[in-house]
Amino acid sequence: MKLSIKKIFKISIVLMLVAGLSGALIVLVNMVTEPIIIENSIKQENSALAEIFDGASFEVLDESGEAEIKKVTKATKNDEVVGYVYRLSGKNAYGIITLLVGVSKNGNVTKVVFLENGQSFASKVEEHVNATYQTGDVSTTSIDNVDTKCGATYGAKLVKALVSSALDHFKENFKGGLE
Amino acid sequence: MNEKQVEKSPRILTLVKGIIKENPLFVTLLGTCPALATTTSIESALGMGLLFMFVLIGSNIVISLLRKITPSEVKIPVYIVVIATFVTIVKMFSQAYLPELYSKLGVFISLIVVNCIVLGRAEAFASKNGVFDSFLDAIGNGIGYTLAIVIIAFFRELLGTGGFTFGKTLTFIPYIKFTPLKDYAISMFTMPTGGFLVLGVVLAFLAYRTNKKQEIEAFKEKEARRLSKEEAK
Repeated sequence: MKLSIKKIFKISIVLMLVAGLSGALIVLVNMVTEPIIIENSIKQENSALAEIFDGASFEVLDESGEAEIKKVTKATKNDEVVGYVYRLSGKNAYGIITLLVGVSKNGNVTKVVFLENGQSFASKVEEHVNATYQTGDVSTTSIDNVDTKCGATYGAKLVKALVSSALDHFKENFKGGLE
Repeated sequence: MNEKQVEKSPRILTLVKGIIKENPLFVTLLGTCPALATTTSIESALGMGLLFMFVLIGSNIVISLLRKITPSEVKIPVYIVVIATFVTIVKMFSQAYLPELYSKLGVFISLIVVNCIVLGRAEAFASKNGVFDSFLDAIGNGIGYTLAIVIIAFFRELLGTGGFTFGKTLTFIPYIKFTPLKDYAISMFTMPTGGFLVLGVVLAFLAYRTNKKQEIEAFKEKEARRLSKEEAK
């Protein structure tokens, strides 16, 4: 089927109009919702930090956001370092995961809290994380033994890679609680 | 019946048919993926239904408005752009104002774009009818779909958790946890298997009712024919 120039022109105009209007509408809604979304995310992160190291005060050490480690925060209690919290983000074919990993001064994972879990099998991944990383036993030496077979293997593998990155960073930079 | 009532009835029919007679989930079996994935609790099913209804109303209205200027060669891409726009808007609003619902439904909000019901109503109805009729069609189908997934969620939550919890996902509702049958809960019903089972049983029940109705109607028709034959004799 060969289209006339007039028809092609009409199609182009309609497509431009629809795309332009859609874009404008999305921009408008984004302008309204963006500050609230940012505020929500700050609140969520603060309550997650308090969940990981209860009663601690936090100081951001690095927020460069390169690679998967987006932020490193130091947790102190009575002027003593109790651990570090890593904000990490990664994605696979099943969606994005953003989480906070708490690492104690001894190098053990204290808690993993999801900030965003866009995996299709999100609840399965969360079940796996609750059963595996919240026991306080996972460390640089034992993370290789974490089994990712949980009904959402790809999501669990992504979490494992993110937690490994946090532990590697800890080992390289703060081993023994030293900065 | 006066003239005004006669004029009104097709519109009421447009609104009502999507709820029961042409229910998108129970009759046409469309949108089953989110119906299985988001029905672990009444709250998340209700939330999904409301977001879905918003997208359906918005896209039906806009597609109906654009129906005369949309070239047939590009109508599907235009519908998809319109639907995707409303899904993006719904996603941003829910992330801002209903963050618990947003994180609970996760990827399934974005997946409304590929929900067959939305594209189906756009192609079958909104592209051929006026704005008000398309709005009514969207309301009817939206209520029908919401009702269907809430029915599935009712059984899944009751059997899977032994009761109901409100105020956890839709935080504007006061928090209520009512689980009197907790000790008898069968957790399988909160898993995908439970979703398939409940949907299957509900569909079987509806099919049984429809068949029974048809049998009665056929019997009545047969009787009427027999009586008229006897009268003729």
